[in-house]
Amino acid sequence: MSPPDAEVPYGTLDLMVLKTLVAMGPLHGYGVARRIEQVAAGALVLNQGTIYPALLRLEQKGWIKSAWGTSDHNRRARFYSITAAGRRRLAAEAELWERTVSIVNRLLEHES
Amino acid sequence: MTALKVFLSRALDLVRRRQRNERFSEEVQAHLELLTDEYVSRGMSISDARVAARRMFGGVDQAAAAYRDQRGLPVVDALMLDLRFALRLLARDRGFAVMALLVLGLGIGVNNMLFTILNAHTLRGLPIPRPDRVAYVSTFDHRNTDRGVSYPDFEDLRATAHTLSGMAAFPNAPVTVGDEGRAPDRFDGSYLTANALDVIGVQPVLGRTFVPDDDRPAAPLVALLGSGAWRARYGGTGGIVGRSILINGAPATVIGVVPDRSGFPSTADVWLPLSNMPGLGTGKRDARSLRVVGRVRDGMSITDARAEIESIVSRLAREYPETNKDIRARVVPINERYLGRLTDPAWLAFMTVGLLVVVISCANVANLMLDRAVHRAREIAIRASLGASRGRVVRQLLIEASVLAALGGLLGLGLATAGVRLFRTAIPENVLPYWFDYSVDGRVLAALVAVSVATVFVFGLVPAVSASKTDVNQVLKDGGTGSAGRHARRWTTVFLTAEFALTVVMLANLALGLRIARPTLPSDVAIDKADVLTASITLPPEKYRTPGQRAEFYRRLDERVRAIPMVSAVSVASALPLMGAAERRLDVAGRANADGEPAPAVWTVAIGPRYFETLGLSLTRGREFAEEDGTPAQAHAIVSERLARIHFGDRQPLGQRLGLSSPGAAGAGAEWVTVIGVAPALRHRPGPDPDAIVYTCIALGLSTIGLYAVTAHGVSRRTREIGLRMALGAQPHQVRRLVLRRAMAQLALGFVAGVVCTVGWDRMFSSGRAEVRMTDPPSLAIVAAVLIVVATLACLVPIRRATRVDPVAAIRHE
Repeated sequence: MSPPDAEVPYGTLDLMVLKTLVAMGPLHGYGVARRIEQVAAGALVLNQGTIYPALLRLEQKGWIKSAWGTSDHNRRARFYSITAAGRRRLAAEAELWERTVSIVNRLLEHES
Repeated sequence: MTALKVFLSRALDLVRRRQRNERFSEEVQAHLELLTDEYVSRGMSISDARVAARRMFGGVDQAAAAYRDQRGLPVVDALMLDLRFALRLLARDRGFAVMALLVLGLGIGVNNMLFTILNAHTLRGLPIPRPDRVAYVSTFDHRNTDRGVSYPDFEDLRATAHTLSGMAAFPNAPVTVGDEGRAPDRFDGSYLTANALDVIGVQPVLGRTFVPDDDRPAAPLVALLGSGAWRARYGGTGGIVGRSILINGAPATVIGVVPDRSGFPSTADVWLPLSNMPGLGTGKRDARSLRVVGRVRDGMSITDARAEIESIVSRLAREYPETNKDIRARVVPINERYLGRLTDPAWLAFMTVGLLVVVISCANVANLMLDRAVHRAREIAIRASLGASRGRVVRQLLIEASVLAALGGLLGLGLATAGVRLFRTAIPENVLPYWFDYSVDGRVLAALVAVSVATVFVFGLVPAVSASKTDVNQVLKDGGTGSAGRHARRWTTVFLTAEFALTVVMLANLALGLRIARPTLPSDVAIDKADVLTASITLPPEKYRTPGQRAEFYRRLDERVRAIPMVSAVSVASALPLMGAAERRLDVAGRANADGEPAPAVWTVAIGPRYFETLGLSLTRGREFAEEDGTPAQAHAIVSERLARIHFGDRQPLGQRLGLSSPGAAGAGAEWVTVIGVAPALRHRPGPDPDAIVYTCIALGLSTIGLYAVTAHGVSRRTREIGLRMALGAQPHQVRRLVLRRAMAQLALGFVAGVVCTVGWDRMFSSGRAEVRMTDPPSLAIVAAVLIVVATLACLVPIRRATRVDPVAAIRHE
């Protein structure tokens, strides 16, 4: 049995978006959503519309920037790219995430 | 840092709202198209692909809502919405908006104008660097009378005081400035020590200020000119520095020009070194005519300076007991000496008036708002039934009030500026001390904003809360007025009563002023001012040393002016009527003053022959002065009818002996004169403030508008009832009585409250003038008469409207 579809854990969407932009370079909202879904390989249900408020929030914080561009299929789309502040933030977030995960893991191992 | 960035970005969104929205819909559109493309490439039909894309994207509306919340500042968005709504409503209710704005603007304007004047006189202080470090040194005697410092004392102070880095003395005297072949001009002048302008911190615009060598006894005479004198006499042109002019008839060199607005100590336009002051060299220790300032040395405080000066002055009192016994020093920061005290009754009254005017106009606007709320009860009920919370309704109403207050504040600022300009032009140039600055400064603006904001709470809060208590069911059921009407009426009564009470106080105050001024009014009228010309002259003491020389000058002046064909009469006086006079203590021969009571004060003016004739007045008894009056053998006086009545009663005033002495030294050293004439009462005291008339008119106008507003709205609220009564046969006079009854009941209530307040005011402020009181029946009768007249006027229009109500239309009226 495959694991149950999960909602995006609270607060991790920012991390995922930033990581995606580092890995893929400038990308439009659709591309970001698609990429996250691909990596999750069906383990995650992403309501694609929610990506836009998240992108706006990150942009307001100065972690990403955006500009209009043209997609592979020759469609006009807004492309997002990570800023230097965004990279620093990603590093910090990733470290925090790893620490959190390792704590939780150790707890879980202990309990079993 | 990030939080600030987010805030800025969001704040920016408020301006770029449209761009943001467009960007979002474009992005969503692009996203959906990309998704659709993908589904099509997987083999779906176009229409299926579109549906699938929408499903995949999730709710577009939810995403849009989330996006909206993320951009901009939601609180501001809601406020902007309320603001737009408020502006639309005010634009629709133009009559209400205009009336409310006028009333509010007038109230705030008068308040701000008064504050601007108060600020200039009592708060701003001297425009000098670090005025708190400048000490003002004076002395006082055993009677606590304020005295100056004598020159010998000043020299001792200057030599021994270490706490002050510079000390300067500045007696005032008019100075005559002349040039060869040109008529001289008279300017206010001042004698200064060399370092005085350094102590005060004045830099010259041309040339230099005094140096110590200028102030040595035998130094050649030099003068500093103010920019005003420079422009008035020399056209403000170059080449003034180094020019030789005549000062009080003696040749002097101009060494510099000081900037505008530095007429230290008060209105000076010419400055001379102190050593040139007449009588300075006599070295009398009890000639205390100098005023002294000093700058506190760095590292010292004004308290240190005070302690040191006080000890020096008491040492001088011990060393020179015959002149300095009981003389003590007073050392205060210079602004404390120059500024009016806010606790002075005059300024307290000033502030009270300012406050009253604003409160009165707020009460008016509150009345207008309350009555408007009655008409809006239905709208508010509908909003409430659609889910608006009470807080939301109050907020909406308060925002409307804030819009009114902001616009009223702007209008007020304009009116205040105009009013201050008027006040300023009403006062002749060179009379006001140079440091009175009536321009708008930060303090005036802060007061304007504070008052405008405060008005929102005074006139806006009660109507808003009252309106928010609207009972939805009842209003929607009985179609229009509802229970808000009752709340509103109660508050209306409270406001209007307060308003009339305040007006009564101001009217009573004015009536009092008029009644005090009345005895002198006929004499004012008797002077036909159109034909009387005045000019002022000062004789330079260097040139006219003895009384004989001065009398000779005036005799020749009189002769030559009288020789001019157009002149029918000429006379001289030490002061013009209504321009003030010297205060003296009065003793009457054959009458002892009560023990401990100070001798009564009288105002004296020295006049020449034919003074009353020149003014077009005739004496009621006796004769005018002749040429020989005033010589030691002919010490004569003319008294006013008022003085004669008070001090001689029924006795013959002519031939009575009066003793006049300076205020500080009653009894001893009095100069005895014989009464030879009695004149009609001419006024030499400053009269009651003419501004009081203006303010009372404003207050009266405001409460009239208030009564009008309330009566008019009362009529329109009762249109249906009036129509019903008329349909049932009520006559116009009955309708009239119906409207008037409420207005008059309101008026009576306000009058009674006003009388109570007046009694309180009278107790507080007018203890000194026992002869006429604000609460006298004549005063109150005047007040009542004025109020009844304006109340009737205020009711005229509403009554007309009420009697013309068409019963059929009125009953349909909602």
